[in-house]
Amino acid sequence: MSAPVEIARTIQNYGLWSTLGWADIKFRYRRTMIGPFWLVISTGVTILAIGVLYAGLFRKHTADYIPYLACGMIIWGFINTTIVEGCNVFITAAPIIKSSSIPLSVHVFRLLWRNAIIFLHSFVVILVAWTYYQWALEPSALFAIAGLVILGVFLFGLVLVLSIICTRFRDMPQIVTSLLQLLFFLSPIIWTPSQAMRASPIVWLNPFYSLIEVVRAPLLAQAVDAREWGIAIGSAGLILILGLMMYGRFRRLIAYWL
Amino acid sequence: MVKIELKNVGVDFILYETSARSLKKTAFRTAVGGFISNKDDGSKTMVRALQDISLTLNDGDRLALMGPNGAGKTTLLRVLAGIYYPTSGSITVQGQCVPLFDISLGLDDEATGYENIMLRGLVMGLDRKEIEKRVEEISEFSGLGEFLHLPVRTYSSGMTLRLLFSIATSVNSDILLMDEWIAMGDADFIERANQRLHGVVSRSRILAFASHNPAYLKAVCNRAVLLEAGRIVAEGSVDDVLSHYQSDRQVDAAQAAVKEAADQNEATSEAGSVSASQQGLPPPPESAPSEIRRSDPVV
Repeated sequence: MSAPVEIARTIQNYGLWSTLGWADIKFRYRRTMIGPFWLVISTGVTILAIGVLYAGLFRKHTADYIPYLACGMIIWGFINTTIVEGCNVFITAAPIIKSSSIPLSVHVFRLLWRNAIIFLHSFVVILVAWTYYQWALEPSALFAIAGLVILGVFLFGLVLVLSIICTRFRDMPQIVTSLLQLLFFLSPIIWTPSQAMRASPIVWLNPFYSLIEVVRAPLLAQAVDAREWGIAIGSAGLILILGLMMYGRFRRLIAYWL
Repeated sequence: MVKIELKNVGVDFILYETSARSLKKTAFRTAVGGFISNKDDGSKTMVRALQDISLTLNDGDRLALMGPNGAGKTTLLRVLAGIYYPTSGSITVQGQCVPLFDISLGLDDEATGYENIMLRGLVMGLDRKEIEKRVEEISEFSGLGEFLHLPVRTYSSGMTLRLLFSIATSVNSDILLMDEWIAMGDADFIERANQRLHGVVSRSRILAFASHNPAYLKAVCNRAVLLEAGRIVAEGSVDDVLSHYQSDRQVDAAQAAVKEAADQNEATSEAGSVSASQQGLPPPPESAPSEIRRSDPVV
């Protein structure tokens, strides 16, 4: 079975990875009180603390800054966790890979699904921020869903690329984690780019800027530049193609590397 | 149509982390384990787990895989399961494989018995509807009753085993792959469990079963293959291959005894004392190989 056929079958057979992904969360939090919402509370507190402090430092109104920060941080949380866990997705799934006939792509879908569910839980923070700050919401907010789909496709491709490299070279996950920390500061999450800065390559060459913008801007009822959509869709497409090529080339070797 | 065809299948494990310089010879065979060598350019170490395996399995074949530890039985099963894609040769599989290598795979301690039935079933490759159809017969066979509503961490290990066994033996598979007999649990369960395991085996259209236990192999298989250092050295009916394997082991044991005697002879003659005959070891059989070196006693 060729790689694209395998992936198509895995998508068709979504019951497998959606149940396993959901089970990951359900059983992890079974004996806790608040469950996955603990993550929400800790994210909320961080956002509040940074929000109030940096709003003062940047001389912005908290009513403008905190919603912006909240959206950015929660989207980044999704990106960060998915990439970090994604590096190790085959290593973590080694027992299953070596004892069952489940196709390897299942583990990638399971990871994305699990993190998507957690993202939806974290979304509560944005809702709380909205009930407090009540910024104008427009129907164009629904475009955030399209943005999320594009982000999902990008992360799927990226996880395919990174997981293969990290399974073969076991020091890569550390390097990826460090690069992500760097990217967090390079991306406009804590800071807002002025018009002048938007033109600088440091901003627009960073695909995460566009990927975060296409989700964040609709939620904040801000306009998204066509350029942002272009870069987001383009980078998602490119990394997906690269991921699929690498998966096709290396998937039969992955079990040997575990 | 269910069929498996292997043509000159080879599996080489390349060890990326070891240096080729740590091996004294370029390639050597060991009595236990596979065939270790350096890759052609000497840069990496490699274990040749399977070599030149050609085999065809058709509907109704129940194949026994025999051989010493490290011969390649488990590797061959994993090739059949699609886990290790051959590094040389080709394999064609028609039909769905259910590998029963690890019956606790996918088990989650926090999940209830019923939830674990779903988890285990999914990991075995069944889809949700198939699993839901089987839940009742699995729970009935396990005899765990109301406990199935409780998380598996509250079970004794025997109860967990009953549950896992019931789930594993509920499958209807085209191709069933087993690595050793599945552990069955306590005394009153064993009788029913035996019947059930024979049931699942007979429901499968092809079976490949690796084991060291001749009784199980004779009970369940109709063909056999003997593996040694990754190669098939004998093929045929279960009885034929078993007798070949057992006579091989007698020759190996005798050779090992002779070699041990020779080594002790060398060691003690360097110290200037006793020779082999005085130690009361059995004389070497006529078919002993000429590899044994005897040094002259140093007085």
